[in-house]
Amino acid sequence: MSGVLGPELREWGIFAMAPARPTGAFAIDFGTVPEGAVMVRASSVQQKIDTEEIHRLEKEVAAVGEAVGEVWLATAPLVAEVQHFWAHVAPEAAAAAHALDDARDLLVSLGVSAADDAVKLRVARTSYEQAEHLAETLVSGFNAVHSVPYRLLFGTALHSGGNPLGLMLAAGSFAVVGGSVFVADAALRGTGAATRSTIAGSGVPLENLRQGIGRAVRYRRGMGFGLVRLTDFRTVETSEPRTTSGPAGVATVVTSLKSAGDHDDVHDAARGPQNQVSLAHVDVQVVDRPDGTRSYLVSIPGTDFDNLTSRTDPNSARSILDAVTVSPETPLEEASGLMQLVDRALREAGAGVDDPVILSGFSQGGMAAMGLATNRDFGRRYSVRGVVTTGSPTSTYRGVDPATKVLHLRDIDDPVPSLTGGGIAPGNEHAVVVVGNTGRNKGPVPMTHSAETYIEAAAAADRELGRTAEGRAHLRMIQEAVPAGSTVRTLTFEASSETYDRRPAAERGSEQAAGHRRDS
Amino acid sequence: MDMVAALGLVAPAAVRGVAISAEHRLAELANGVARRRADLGTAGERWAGTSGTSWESPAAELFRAKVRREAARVLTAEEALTRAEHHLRRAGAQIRQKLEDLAGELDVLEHRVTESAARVAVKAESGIHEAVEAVARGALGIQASEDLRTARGAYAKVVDGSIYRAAVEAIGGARLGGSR
Repeated sequence: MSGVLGPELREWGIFAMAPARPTGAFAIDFGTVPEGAVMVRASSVQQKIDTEEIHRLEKEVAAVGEAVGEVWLATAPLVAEVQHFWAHVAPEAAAAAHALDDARDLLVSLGVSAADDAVKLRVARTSYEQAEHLAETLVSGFNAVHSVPYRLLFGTALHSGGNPLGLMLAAGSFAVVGGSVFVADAALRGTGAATRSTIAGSGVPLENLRQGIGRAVRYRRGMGFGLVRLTDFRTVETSEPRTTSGPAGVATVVTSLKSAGDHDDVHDAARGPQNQVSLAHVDVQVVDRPDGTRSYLVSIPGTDFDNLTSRTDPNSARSILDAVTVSPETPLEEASGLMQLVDRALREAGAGVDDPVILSGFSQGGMAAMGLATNRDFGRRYSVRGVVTTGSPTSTYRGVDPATKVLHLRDIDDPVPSLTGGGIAPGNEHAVVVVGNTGRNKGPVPMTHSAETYIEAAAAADRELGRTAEGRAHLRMIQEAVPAGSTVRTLTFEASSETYDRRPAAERGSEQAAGHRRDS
Repeated sequence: MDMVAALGLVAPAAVRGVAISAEHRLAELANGVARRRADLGTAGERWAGTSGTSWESPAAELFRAKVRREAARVLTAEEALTRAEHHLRRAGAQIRQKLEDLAGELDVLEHRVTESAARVAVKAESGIHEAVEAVARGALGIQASEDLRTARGAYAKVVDGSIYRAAVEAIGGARLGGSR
C-alpha cells in the first residue's frame, strides 16, 4: 500500500510545493536556498502568466474529464443493448460487447485521471497564488518578534522620563535583546531576512520616509540648490582589445563588475591620498560584435569604503541618499554624480542612441544602474537593453521599460538589498531575481555583501536561468550584447564631483556686472 | 389453400424485413460507437494539447509526463471502441445473412407446399369432376325412365280408352300372330 501511495503522495507534494518556488517567497523569506545553490524568482509578470496558464490547463483538463465522462455515459445504453440482446444473437456482437467493456473500463480510469489532474492543477495554482501570502503571514510572526526590542527601547525610554540612566538602560536592553533576536534569526533564515524583519519590526515607515526625503531633495535641486556636477572627468585606462571565445553570461557581467571595483581601487591608489578630492571609476566595455554593430556594457562598482564620507566621491556613502531619492523624472543634471558619470562615460565611449547598452552595478552601483534605467533623460540618450545588479536594493526603482530586461542577484546573507525596505519585491514586475546561498561567511551574523560572493553565485545563476524560458531570455540579452567572437575594449573613466547652487540668471547677471565694475 | 399461401408469401418477407431491421439497428449502434470514439478522440487531442503548455516547473514536467501517458491510454480506448464498431457492423451483416438464409429456406418450403397443394387440387378436381359426371349421368337416366313411364301411362290410357285400342290390339295381334 505504501509502495503505491508513496509516489502518489510525492506527486501531490510536488504539485503543492513546486509552483510556490518561482515566487521566491520561501527561498528569500526563509532562506531555504541550499548552500552553494541559487534559486530563480520568476518575475511577477511571469508568475501571473504561469498562474493564468495553470488556470487554463485546469479548465482544459476538467473539460476533458467531462467529455470522457459523457462518452462513458453515452456508451452505457449501447453496451446494455449489445450485451443483453445482440450478444445472444451473433458472436460478433458478443465480441463488440467485450470491446465496449474494455473501452469503458479505460474511460472510467481516464475520467478519474483527468479529475485527479484538474485537482492537482488547482492545488498548484493555489500554491502559486497563496505562497507569498502564506510566507508573508509566517514572516509577520518573525516581524513581531523583531518588534520586541524596539518596544522595549521606546517603552523604557518613555518611562525613564528623560533620565540618562533610564535612557542608557533602554539602549542597553535594545542592544542585548535586539542583538540576540537578530543573531538568532540571521542564523535561522539568513541575514537578509533578519534585516527585513528588523526593519519591519521597528515600525519605521521607511518607504514613506524615502519618498518624503526624495521629494524634498528633488524640490531643493529643482530650485537650483545642492546640485551635483562632475569634475576632473577623464579616461584613465583603455585595455587591449580581446576577442571573446564564447557567448557571455551572468558570470561575464559579474566578473566585469569585480574588475571595475578593482580598477577603482587601483586608480584611487594611483592618485594617492584622496583627502581633498576623491574619485569614482566606472568601466565601459565597448563591444564590436561580429556582425559589425557595437554594444556597450557598463560596470558600476559599489560604494567606495575607502572614501566613505567623502563629499566629492560620486560613490561615497553620501551619494547613497542621491541614489535612493532619484526619480524617473529627475533631469540628469540634477541626478547623482555617479549617474552623471555613467552618462558622460557612455558619451565619451561613443555610444549612440540606437546602440544596445547593458547597465550593471554592484551595491550602490546597482542602484545607479536602476536609477538610470528608469530615468527618462537617460532613456532618450541610450538604448538600455538590460540591467544586471548584484547585492543592490532595487525596490524603489519602479518604472523600468518592460522591454528592458532586469536581473537582480542577491544572497540570502546579504542584508544590503533589504536596506531600503520594500520586502522581497524587486520593484519592477518584469524583473527576475536570482537568490543564492554561497555560505561564504559562517560567523554569528553571516554577511556576504561582496563582489566575490556574486562571482561565486554567477555560474550557478547561468545554469539556473537556462532552465526557464524567462531566464533564457535574460541570458540572451547578455549574449546578444556580447556574442562569441566579439572584440571587447574596456575603458575606465574617472571623475570627482562637487556640489553647487544654480543661481537665478538675474542674480548671475548682477554678479557679473559687479565683477566688471571691480575689474574696471 | 389461403393458409398455405399466407405461410408461403408472408413469412420469408417478414424474415427479410427483420434481417434488414436488425442490420440497420446494429449499424446505428456502430455509428453511435463511432461518434463516441470521435468525441473521445477530440477530448484526447485536447488533453494531449495541454502538454504543450509554456508552464515551467517540476510539477509541469510531471503533468506533461502524465498527459503523454494518458494520451496513449486514450488511443487504447479509441482502438477498443473502433473494434466494437467493426464487430457491431459485422454482427449486423452476420445476423442479416442468417435471416436471409432462413427466408430462403422458407421460400423453398413455400414452393414445395404450393406444388403439393396444386397436385392435391388437381387430383381432387378430377375426382370431383368424375363424381359430378357420374351424378349427372344418374340424373339423366332417372329422367329418361320417368319420361318412359309417363309415355307408357299415356299410351295405356290412350289404348284403353279409344278406338285406337282395337287397332293397337289388332296391330299387336297381328304382330303377335304374324311373328308366330
